[in-house]
This record gives sequence, C-alpha cells and structure tokens, in this order.
Amino acid sequence: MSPLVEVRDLTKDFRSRSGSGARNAVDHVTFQVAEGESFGIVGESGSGKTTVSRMLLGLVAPTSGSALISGIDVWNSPKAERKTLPGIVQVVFQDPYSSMNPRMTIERVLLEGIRSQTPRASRAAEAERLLELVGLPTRYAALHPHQLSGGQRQRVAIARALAMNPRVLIADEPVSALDVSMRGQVLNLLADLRTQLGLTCILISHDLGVVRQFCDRVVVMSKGQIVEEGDPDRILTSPTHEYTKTLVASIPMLPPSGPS
Amino acid sequence: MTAVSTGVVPPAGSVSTTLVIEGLEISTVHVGDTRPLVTDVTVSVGSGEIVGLVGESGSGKSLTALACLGLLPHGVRVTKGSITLDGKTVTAASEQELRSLRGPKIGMIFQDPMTSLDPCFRIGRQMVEALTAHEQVSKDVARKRAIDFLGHVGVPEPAKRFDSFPHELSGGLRQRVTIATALLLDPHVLIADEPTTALDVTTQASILQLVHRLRDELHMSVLWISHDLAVVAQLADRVAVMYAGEIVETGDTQQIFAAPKHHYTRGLLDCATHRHRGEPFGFIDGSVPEPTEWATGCRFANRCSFADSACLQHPEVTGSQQSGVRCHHPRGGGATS
Repeated sequence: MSPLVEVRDLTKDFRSRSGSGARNAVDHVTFQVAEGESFGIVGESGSGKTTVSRMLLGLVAPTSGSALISGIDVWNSPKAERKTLPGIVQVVFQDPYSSMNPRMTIERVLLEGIRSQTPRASRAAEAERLLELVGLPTRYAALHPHQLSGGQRQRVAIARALAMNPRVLIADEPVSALDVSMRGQVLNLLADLRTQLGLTCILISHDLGVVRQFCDRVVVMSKGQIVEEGDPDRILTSPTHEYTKTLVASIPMLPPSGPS
Repeated sequence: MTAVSTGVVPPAGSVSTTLVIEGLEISTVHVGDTRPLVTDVTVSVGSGEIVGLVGESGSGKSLTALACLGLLPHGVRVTKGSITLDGKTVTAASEQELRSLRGPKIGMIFQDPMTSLDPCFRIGRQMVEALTAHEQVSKDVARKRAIDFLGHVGVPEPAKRFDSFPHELSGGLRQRVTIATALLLDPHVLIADEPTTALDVTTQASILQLVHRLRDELHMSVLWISHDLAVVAQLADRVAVMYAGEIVETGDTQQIFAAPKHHYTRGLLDCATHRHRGEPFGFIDGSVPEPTEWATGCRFANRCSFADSACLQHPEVTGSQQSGVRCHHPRGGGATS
C-alpha cells in the first residue's frame, strides 16, 4: 500500500529582498506517513517545520521537490484533482484567536468549508453534530469566537477541520497558545478523534514530551533538514544526532513527584 | 491574612528579606466602582533567593510584578497592602522616588524582547541610556560597561553586537540584551515576567543557567514569573502558586513538587508530567475564572473534585508564610482528602 502522505526532496528557498543569497528554509526533506499513523515533526522556531506543513497544505509553493497526498501532487497535479485536496487534508493552526473571523458566528465558522454543499435546512444540524463531536454544548453555535475561551476556540478549530471529513489532519502547535491546564483536554480530544475517525495525524510541535505521548513516529528538524527520525521513546532516551542530544538535554524536567 | 511576617523564621540560606509583598490587593478603579483583580498576595524574596511565581494566564501574576515597579496600567491601583523593597515602601513612593528605584534597586525583564527594545535604536545606545539616566558616567565608561555586561550574559562578540539593531539579533540574543540592560545598574532584585516563554527550549536552557550563575556571582534576588512548572522546578528555591488573583500555595520547591498540598498545584503538576505513548494527557476540567466570576467561597472549588459545603467559605492561608496553603481540604493530612 502506498503511503497517504509522501514528501520527496521538498525544498523551499526564501530569497532576501536584495536578491543576494537564498536561505534554505526547507532543505531536501523526505518522509512518508502511512494511513492511520500519528506522525510528529519536532524542531525549534526557524527549523522549517511549519513551512513543510504549509507546502503540504498548498499555502506555500516549494522551490523544488514534491508533496503527494493520497497520490495527488499538491502542486503539480491537474487542477481538477487538486481541488479535491481540501476534502482530504485539513489543518488546525496554533493561534485560535487569529484563525477565526471574529464577525462570524461559530456555526458560520464551522460550516465555512461545506456551506455550498450543505442544504440550508440541514446546516444547523450539521453544526450541532460537529460541536458534539468535539465536546462543546450545541448552544455555542450562535456565539461569536470572542465569547469562547482559548481551549474552547481550539475545539471549534478542530471541529471546523473535521467538517470536511478529512483523512489527514495537520495540527501545527495546536496547544502552545493555551493555558497549561487546558492543553491536556485538547490533546486528549485529538487523540480520541484520531482513533474514532481513523484519522492520519501530523503533529507539529516544539515539545518533544507532547510528541512522545501522541505520536508513533517522529522526525526532528534543524535548519531545514531532517536530522533524526524514529520512535519518539527511542529519540528521547537515546538520541544519536548532536542537535537532538542538545534538544533533549534542554527540556526542563519535573522532579519525580509523590503519588497523585 | 497570613501569619505575621516578623514571627516567621526565614529558612537557612536566606540572609535578609529584600522584597516583601504583603496583603497586596490590586483593583480596577472606576468612578465609585472598585473591582479587585489580585487579592491578599503575600510573598517575600530573600537576598540571593530565587522565588518562582507560578500561575496560568489571568491569575494576576503579571499585575503583581508590575505593581512592584509601580508600573500598573492606568485605572488599576494598589488598593490594599504594601510592597517594600529594602525597607522602602514602593506602594507609597512618588513617581520621582520610583524612578530612582527602577534600575538601581529593582530591574525587570519582560516576556517579549522585541517589544521591550526600541527597534529604531542600536542596542548599545539603549543600554547606555539606561546607565546614564541613573549614574553620572562618561560615554566611554558607559560603553565599556555595557560591552562588559553583554559579554557577561553570553553575547558573542559583544563589541560588535553593541552596534546592532534589535532586529539583527535572534530572540535569545535579544533577551540576553534585555537581561544585560537590567543588570547594568546592579539591581538588588530582578523581576522576570515569563522571560523564556517566547524562546526555544535550547535558548531557554542557557538563559536559566545564566540566571543561576548571576544569582551566585552577584547575590541577586530574583522573582521569576512563569506558567511552566518544569522551568520553575529547575530554577527556584521557593515557589508561590497563584490562582484567580490569590496565592493558593507557597513552599520550598522540593516540597511543592514532592508533596503539593493544594489540589490546584497537584493538577498543574499532572498537566506538566509527560507520560508514555497512548496514555491520556493530564488536565484540569474547566478554565480559570475571570475576576468578575470569582466565587465568594474557594475560587478553585468549581474545578476541584474534593470540594464540599465547607468550600463555600473563602479559605484562609494555613501554615506559615514560608509554607502555606489556602484550602479547606489540603492534601496529605487534611481530614477529608
């Protein structure tokens, strides 16, 4: 079986305004994600992990290389094929404050992608189904984003992504803008939905601890390149690449605590 | 109120208390309408001590920090309690007195180094400005001292960086510049408001090392504000946990992490603990209440699984100022826990 997501030699150069010298934001990145897998991309800011996700989503054009989702080349397949991609891959962004139109009601936010295909009569029911799916009360459909907390908004963002019935969900730092006490709720929800709906997940994070708990496999990126790939437990306990070693050593650890 | 501070013996190691916040209440004040945002906060930082102030957003930790410098935003005031710095009452100081305190006595580092540095000026000029505002020194001496401090906090090629603009530096370097600037005047107390939250973990690790080293070398007192328990665990000697505008638990770092007494502290620890693959993530149900939604009883009761009718009464801090908890049913030793 061919992998659901396939990235081959993906490269992105950002040119400086003066035209002198290009910077490799992403440098020949290659990886594959199988259907149903939970895949993690770890790296510090500027390592290129978000640029990879944006190229997968068709938001940033690669300089060279290719990104295939379900056999469709995100950048080079015929337009008719590419138009089906939003029904296959969806995204949850980091900041639930800026990723929603403040003038829309939650119902409108949720149905934005499927509005034209959903008959007016069944829209309310669909919004309610989505809210229930992410564990929010159905009365939230009538509210506006500013009336919700960060955690609730991130749930809406997940519901919005799921409205399209995608097979792949890309979550780009989905909890780093949230309070510590709420992060767990959102991550547990993502994990539950993944098993419930058989989703393939790509989790982008700077937090190796979160990735270890959530992902089956992880790649570590540094300066646009993948420096290490493998089982998250193995990477945390015995990293091989110099950069990964520094990264693991830098994670602040809680001292062992008493019984809960 | 907590135990009277004079009756409490400071733990071994802390010589004298430099920063004392006592019974602090901060409120928004509109015409005839006062709403508390922070209530009854009592913390002290001894000389050469690092105290971690932990809490989620909305717990009032940043307001507490700003009050220490007399920098509360317009319309927000200290309505009760006091803050004293080396015996001087900050909360009663005039604007002129505050100016002489900020810098030489108390320094501050903010979360985002991009907004605390002026993008229009070279960092050297901004550092020298901080120095010449308080001391009569020649430009050359100021320049030399600034470059020294840049080197001291681990900025490579400090003489060259002195002439850089903020945008030419990485986030980690920029934060080092703000730390160096705060240290230029050799403050007794350094207040750090989430200084590593915007930085990468590797950069964070080196900043934490730097703060430890500076404490040891300069015998500086540090109030370190963070939402990250793991960072505080590595850095602080003592910890104060804030929730919904008040302190719910204080204690020795080791003691807080080994045997937290408040259920909120326990919950936060759960959230921060990394587990194995496939295991559920820890969380605390519900969210931090807005100041307008504070319960008259225990403010944490609606998120606490140990809450009962006793929790309709607002709990007072029990124990000492060094190790206290604000809970009717504290963990370990409480009758109902």
